[in-house]
Amino acid sequence: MPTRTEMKTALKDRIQLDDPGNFNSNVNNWDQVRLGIYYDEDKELIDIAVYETTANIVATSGKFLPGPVWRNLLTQVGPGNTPEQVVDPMMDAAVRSVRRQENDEGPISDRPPKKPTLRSARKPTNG
Amino acid sequence: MDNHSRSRLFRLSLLTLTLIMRVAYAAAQDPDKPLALLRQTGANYKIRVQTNAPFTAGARVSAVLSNKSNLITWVENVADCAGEALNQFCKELDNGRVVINYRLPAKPQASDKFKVTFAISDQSGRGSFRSIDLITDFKPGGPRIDNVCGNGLIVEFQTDNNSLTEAETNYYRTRLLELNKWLKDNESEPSRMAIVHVEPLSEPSPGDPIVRDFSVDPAADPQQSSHALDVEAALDSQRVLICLKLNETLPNGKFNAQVVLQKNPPFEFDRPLSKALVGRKATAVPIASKVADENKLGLRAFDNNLEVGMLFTSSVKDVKANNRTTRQRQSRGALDLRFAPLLRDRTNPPQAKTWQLFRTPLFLDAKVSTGKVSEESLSLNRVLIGTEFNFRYVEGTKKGERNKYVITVRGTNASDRDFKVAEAKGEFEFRPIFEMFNQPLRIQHKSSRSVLIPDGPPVEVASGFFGYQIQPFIGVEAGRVYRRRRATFRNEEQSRTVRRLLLGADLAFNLTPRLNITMTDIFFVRGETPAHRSRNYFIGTVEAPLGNINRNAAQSVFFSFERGDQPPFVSPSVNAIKFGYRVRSDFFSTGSAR
Repeated sequence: MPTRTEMKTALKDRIQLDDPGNFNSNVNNWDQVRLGIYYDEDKELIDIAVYETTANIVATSGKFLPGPVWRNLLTQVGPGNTPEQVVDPMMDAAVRSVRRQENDEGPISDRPPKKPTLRSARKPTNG
Repeated sequence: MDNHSRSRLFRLSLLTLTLIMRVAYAAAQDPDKPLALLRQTGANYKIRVQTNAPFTAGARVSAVLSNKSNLITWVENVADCAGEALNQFCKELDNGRVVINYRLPAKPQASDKFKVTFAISDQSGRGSFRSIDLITDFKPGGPRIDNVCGNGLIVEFQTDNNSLTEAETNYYRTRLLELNKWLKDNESEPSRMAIVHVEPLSEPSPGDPIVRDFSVDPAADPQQSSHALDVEAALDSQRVLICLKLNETLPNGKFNAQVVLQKNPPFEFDRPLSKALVGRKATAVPIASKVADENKLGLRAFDNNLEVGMLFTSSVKDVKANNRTTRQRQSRGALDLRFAPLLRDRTNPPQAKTWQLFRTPLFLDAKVSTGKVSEESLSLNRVLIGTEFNFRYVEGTKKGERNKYVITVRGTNASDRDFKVAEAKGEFEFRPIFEMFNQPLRIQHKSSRSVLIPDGPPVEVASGFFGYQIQPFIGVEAGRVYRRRRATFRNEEQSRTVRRLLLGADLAFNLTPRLNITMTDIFFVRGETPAHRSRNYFIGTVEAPLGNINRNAAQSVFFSFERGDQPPFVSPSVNAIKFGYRVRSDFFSTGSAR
């Protein structure tokens, strides 16, 4: 489980990788720049960057974000938020992550995310 | 190697050594972020001041403890620690850094505001000086709300220490065990664990809620019980969330909330936690003109789960009957309904390089009116029922790799109000969104640090003057009219089988922030009418924003040209030019409904 500083560093690395141009122009105040600047004002891209960063860091502890937790995380991030503002919701999600359990997949939204293909996405398994 | 070279090498080595020593000395001299921490050990409370400053031989440590404006103690030369005496400063070294301790006689009161001032000076009187507030290792936070806690208030217990020593780890664990013990004590009677006050800012107060249950994260066993804390997980994340579930619904608008934890909580929670909060946002007031504006024959956009519009008209009209003209009043009602109980629901969390499914299992789009279904009817008298699946693929979030691909699959049953004419059809649409063709002006900006207020929000300036969006799409529609129990109208003469291929593009160009051009062109190849296979629909708009009239209103002039027709091709082709002036204002909004 990450500390707040570790989570913020993970987000920093992600932003630096995704938009090095804007990041390098704001190296000292990168966490005060709106996410919309880094991600073309696109909520979908921000959702992916924030979710994947959080999910990857909790996965190192063998945990995943259940459906209600990642859905709650997505409602709290948007183009108007700065990285500093989204670290706390990311930490909340990390604290609420749960350990993967074998042979107990639960409802579809609570399952650990898989790499779905177009075919599997069309045919969701009954939860 | 000659003497000259040896001498140069020696001088270079000496210079390097001097530089390294100076840098190390400078780093050691900087007392970075000193902390004055209030700690509890058993029944004792002590102040631990981590100066983060090194101790050099002959240095003198002075310390002052004050509470608000009252001086409690002032020691000019703090002695080394030998046991823990009450009301006395003493110093010790921790990894070569000075630590000052002070044992308090009793637990501080909630109203106390201690401050520690210290100075570490060398023999010449120079050194470091700091004045810092007394804090606790774990900081209480909240109350706040979120969707996971539902109708409850979240109280936090958190810290952020990325370089824990063994002693700190042990102390943190003790605090978390103390918190866990308090949670366990309240498991049987949660209503007594906290007093909650809620004060709505724009409504009468409904009375204070009572805690009916609570949950904690990270929980030791979230499947069985969420009352017990996973201490080791909490130690890793250094964050605990306690959700106090309330028996009363929290207000929707702005409100103040205060939580006072009871029954001897950990001393970090001694003070009441108060915060101004905003409840769940109220749904925006519907725009009255939207219903009248909506004249699309295809499936309309769904922005909400439910949108209902009702209309009532009454008019007097000359009616001829039996060679006599009489004036009769005609009253009509119309209903406009859009309903989708689950709208674009995500099945998987957002991820790049995977197909993301969004589903709308059921939608109902109806525009119906009373009276006979005729060409003079008030409404389209059309009912669309169907299901939609949307697949989105995002290549990546990295700049230059942000292409998206969107596939929409829809099954629709379209009928008239009385279900006398009904058709079922399937639709498929593919829309690639290439990053290089989608650069609207609103995303072309750069951010840089403010010169005047460097710690404030950064400055955002436009980095371009020309924006563009080009989104091509291709789709097919196939279906069949399976019921026809009413005579067709003038424009409904077509085969019962629907087979259509459509190709098109949405284009938008921002020629400076003052001029926007949008165009949509769709070319249809129709299988159901061999005599007139191809149809085209085009709409182009040029809009020039004229700026703001005042803070709440903006104005623009626009010109649009529309030509062609769209499925189901039962109305005559449109060929219209519009030129107009548009004002948008929100001066009626009170702020509560947004």
